[in-house]
Amino acid sequence: MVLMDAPQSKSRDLDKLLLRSGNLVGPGFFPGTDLRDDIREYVRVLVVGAGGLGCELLKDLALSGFRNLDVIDMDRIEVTNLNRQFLFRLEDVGKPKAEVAAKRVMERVSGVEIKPHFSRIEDKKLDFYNDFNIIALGLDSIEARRYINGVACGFLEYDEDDNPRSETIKPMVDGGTEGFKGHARVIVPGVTPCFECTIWLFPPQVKFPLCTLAETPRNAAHCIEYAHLIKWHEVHGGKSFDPDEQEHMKWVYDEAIKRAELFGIPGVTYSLTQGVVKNIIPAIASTNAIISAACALETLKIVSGCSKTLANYLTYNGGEGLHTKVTEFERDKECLVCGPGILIELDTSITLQKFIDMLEEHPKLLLSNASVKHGKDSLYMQAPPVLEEMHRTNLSKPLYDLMGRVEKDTVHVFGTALKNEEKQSSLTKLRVVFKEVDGVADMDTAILRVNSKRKTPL
Amino acid sequence: MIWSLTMSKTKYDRQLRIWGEVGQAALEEASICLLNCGPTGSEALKNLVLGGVGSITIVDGSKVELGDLGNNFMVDERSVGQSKAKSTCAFLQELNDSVKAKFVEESPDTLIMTSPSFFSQFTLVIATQLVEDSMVKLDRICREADVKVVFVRSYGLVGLVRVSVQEHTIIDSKPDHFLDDLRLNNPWPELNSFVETIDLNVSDHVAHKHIPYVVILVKMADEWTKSHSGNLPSTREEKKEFKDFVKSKMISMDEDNYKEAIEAAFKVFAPRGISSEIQQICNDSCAEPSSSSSDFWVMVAALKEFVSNEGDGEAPLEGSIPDMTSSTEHYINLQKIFLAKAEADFLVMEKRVKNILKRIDRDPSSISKPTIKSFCKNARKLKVCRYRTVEDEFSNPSVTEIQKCLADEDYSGAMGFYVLLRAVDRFTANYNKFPGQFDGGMDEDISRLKTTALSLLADLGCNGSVLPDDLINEMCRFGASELHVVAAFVGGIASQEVIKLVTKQFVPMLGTYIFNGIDHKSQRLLVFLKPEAFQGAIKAINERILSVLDDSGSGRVDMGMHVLNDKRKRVAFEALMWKPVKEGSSQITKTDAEKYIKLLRAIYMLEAHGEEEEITFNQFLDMLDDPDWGFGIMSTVLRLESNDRNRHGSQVCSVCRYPIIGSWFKEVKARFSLCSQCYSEGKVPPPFKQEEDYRFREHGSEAEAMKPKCVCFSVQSHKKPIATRKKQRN
Repeated sequence: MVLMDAPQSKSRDLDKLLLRSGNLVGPGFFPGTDLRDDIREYVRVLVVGAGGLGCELLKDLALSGFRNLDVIDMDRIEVTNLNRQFLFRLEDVGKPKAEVAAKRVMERVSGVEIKPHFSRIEDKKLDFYNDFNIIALGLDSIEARRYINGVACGFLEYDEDDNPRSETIKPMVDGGTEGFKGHARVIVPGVTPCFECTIWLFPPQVKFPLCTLAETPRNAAHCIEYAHLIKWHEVHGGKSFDPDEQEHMKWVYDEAIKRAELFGIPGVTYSLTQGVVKNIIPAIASTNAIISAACALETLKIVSGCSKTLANYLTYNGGEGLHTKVTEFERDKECLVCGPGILIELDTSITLQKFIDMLEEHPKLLLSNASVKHGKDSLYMQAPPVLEEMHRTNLSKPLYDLMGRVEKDTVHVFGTALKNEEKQSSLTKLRVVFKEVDGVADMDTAILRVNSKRKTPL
Repeated sequence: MIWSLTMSKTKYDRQLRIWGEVGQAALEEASICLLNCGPTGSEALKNLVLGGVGSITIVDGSKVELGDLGNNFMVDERSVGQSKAKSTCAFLQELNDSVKAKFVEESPDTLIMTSPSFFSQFTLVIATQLVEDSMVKLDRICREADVKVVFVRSYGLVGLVRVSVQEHTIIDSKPDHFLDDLRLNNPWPELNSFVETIDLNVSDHVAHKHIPYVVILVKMADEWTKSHSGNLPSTREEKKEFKDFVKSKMISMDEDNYKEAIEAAFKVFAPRGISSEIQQICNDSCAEPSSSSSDFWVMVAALKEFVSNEGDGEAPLEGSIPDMTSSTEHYINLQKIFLAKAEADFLVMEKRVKNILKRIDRDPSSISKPTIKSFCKNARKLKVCRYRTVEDEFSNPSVTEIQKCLADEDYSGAMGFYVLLRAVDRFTANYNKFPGQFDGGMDEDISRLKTTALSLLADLGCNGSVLPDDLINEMCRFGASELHVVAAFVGGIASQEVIKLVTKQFVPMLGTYIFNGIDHKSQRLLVFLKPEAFQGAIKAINERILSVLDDSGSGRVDMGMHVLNDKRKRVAFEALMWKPVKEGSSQITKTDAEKYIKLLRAIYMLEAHGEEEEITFNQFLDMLDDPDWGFGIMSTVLRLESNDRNRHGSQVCSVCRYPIIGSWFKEVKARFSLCSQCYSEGKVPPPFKQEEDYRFREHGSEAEAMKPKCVCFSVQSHKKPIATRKKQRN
């Protein structure tokens, strides 16, 4: 074999993908060393969560050409993490996950910079999230996903034709696992469905009826939940139950045993008690590795265009044989989080009362008895009477002032709308733009005009 | 010592909840050999070391190069120039000190050539990045030594995973979706006498609403049969009548136990006896025990005896009952009755196992009680997986399968890459490099790869087939690169398969999995189903069809008449004539099985509804229940389909909440989804009324499915108050 040994670089394998042109690639793929170097230099990725998926994501991204990574996680390392969160060792137990994970990857992969944030995601300012080109989610809760989704979609702006402005799109990749199963998805707000568009993907959560727990327990879980949800409060009054407090768990376990003995019910174990009380989801290293790899691959593809992007939801099931499937979900055009909402132009002098009256007349809305919300603040509420009274003084104030004197922002309105000749309660997103505010609106409109001009067929 | 035991229990807690201590013990006894420790191999092994596999032996003869630092997490700058096996081994050892980690500095290809006996010491070999020639040789060695093999390969954005083992038998297959074993259609004396002690007409309301549905249904089925000359409900009308009968016993609308009874009424109508799949396992030639039989087959032989003797057609009782509305006392008593019956069945089985062992000159107590117990508990869920040798796959390719896949939109990418992965090995044998491995001469490599691939296709017997240029170009662009994320993906799959093979739990994959990292339209190819699983069912179906076609019982079918007059019967006739493509072969292709199922669907659908896609729910059920229309074979088709494991993402049935396998029925207006089981039982989700007419659209697995529901995983937070995040468990 006569082979010239080409001078090697650490990016030997990745270069094949980033430096060579291809046929099955994304739009705007410009292969070359510039692309590779730009990814190294300028692209910033945030990894949310440093658990089973997060550890894998950090490693995968560090070995996929990314050098500027941040990781945020509020948890500390526990012994039960060690069967899959491969960046942690026994001696790390008790330390913040984000910090240890960042340190371990930086030790192994030279050149990569990982900034850890030992913090709740809600405690970061919005600007923090806007600094990243893409957000990779390795989370285990629906609430956290909704929060990040809301933040990322909050950056999204639409032009006057209701098309998303590409520079305001903050893409996300999201993964989740349970046992041998998992999913990976790509969320490009305004282009593919956001988390909220497909919130129905989550199975409904069912609770045990309290009367079963109190009166007719039949299995071990009923006894455990009785001890945890009923007996604890009876005995400890105001003291709240902490699942991470071993003594609390032991108490629940002992009580569950007593109750099980009373009724002749078998099967209460300490492990089951923990499982039921903490609602533990079984997790293994391999599934996390698979799902994270898919997420990191999609991150690389979104950033570089080096191949097609997953459209848009991958399910994986390795329990019975092996099944993978891609599903292309559709956006909910009326999604309150990522949808464009209805554009309304207002004078700065319009009062809230006048605005509410306008909603009734607006052909796209026909909304009566509207309550108005701006971010977390209620501007006006129709009911209950106490709250109505509290907000009544707002009605005479200009909406512009109530919204903090910004030229444009989003409000949500809730009321009764006429749909298919039926009165239905309706929640709608509105993009409010105030006319002629400090000339900014003028410039904005000017840009819009250029855009819309380009779209006009010649 | 005690401390370290609890520590390891805590460390492995999240996986012990999946495969239990028995599974963990099997993992800790396993000895795994890895061939080549690039990222694909080291990632596969990483997941196993974390899980606490017994020992690992890494075989790799290469030194760490600078390029390895860019794709392999198990090397670092200090490793450059060192043995890759040694560096990887050291870093893997860091992850878990209870794993025995060794390395052999030797090229796997050489080892395969020179020391075949080396491999017999292992439970399983993970063979990564091997070219075709070495794959075939290793496979042959490991088959002879009874060592399992998982082949894995990453190549640019594509990859391959393939399991190879002569036979893998599973007792604890842990299916997602399985009907409980309540025997409502066939209660045994003790259950009957318990039921007799409970009065359905009890005047106390509280007592009335706490009678478990099992008692209600056994009682009412008994009443029904008494007034129906000993028969259970069988037609659609009778089933509805039976449900109304149950409903009539409700005192008030809030009686959950009666609602559950109506929901579960189908368990009364369910066919008795063992499933066709278990029947096939009993009929397997291995179920005739000899001194060389494995424990599994000895127990199958005992099962077979049990079914035809004490079991009266049924397998041993599983012995557990699902949670149901009930007073504690009734529930506990019921539980005891089920447990007692399971225990009695177990004792019979144990005796039979011992006798068989004696008969084949083995120690009668050589199969442990817990093993027999587990076998009895899972007797309805047994699985047997057999794999062809790699050599057979390569030298006796299924031409039709390859051609069909190459022409199929959903499969062409995966099959194209399957062929190309073989073509690059041929290319390498000819040109001493992989296509596109080096930067120069790309165009030449592309045209050479194309020629190589076409000649490979011709050798496979697929002369007319072509491969898209896009795939060939991409393959050259990949230039044998091993990307970390692709390696982590396919390596991860490999470790899942290893866990399933070693723990003997869950079901390993069949066929060859081709990972397509371009659009994730990955596929399992060349899936051959056990002919036994199909042939028995097909025979039963054909007999039914024949009985319809041959009205006069003459034993002959008047073809002309049916072809002219009866579209449906013509299809039935075609189905009757249909045979697997590779007749006489020991395998049936998945595509053939799919074709058969499609033909059967056509039989149901054709005449009554012409070209219409949608039929009403009631029409469909009437059709199936009608012995002339439906041939009464829906249950067989459902079994065929569940064998086929036709899934819809993770679409969940709105009634039973289980993932939908096989046909998926989506209500057109209300948009709820049903699995075929709940659909055929005429169920609708709780908020909807059973009486109404619903229109269903049926989906296969393919793209026609409009908006498959998938489940997102790990949705529960541990940051939120406990009471708001409960999900049902039992």
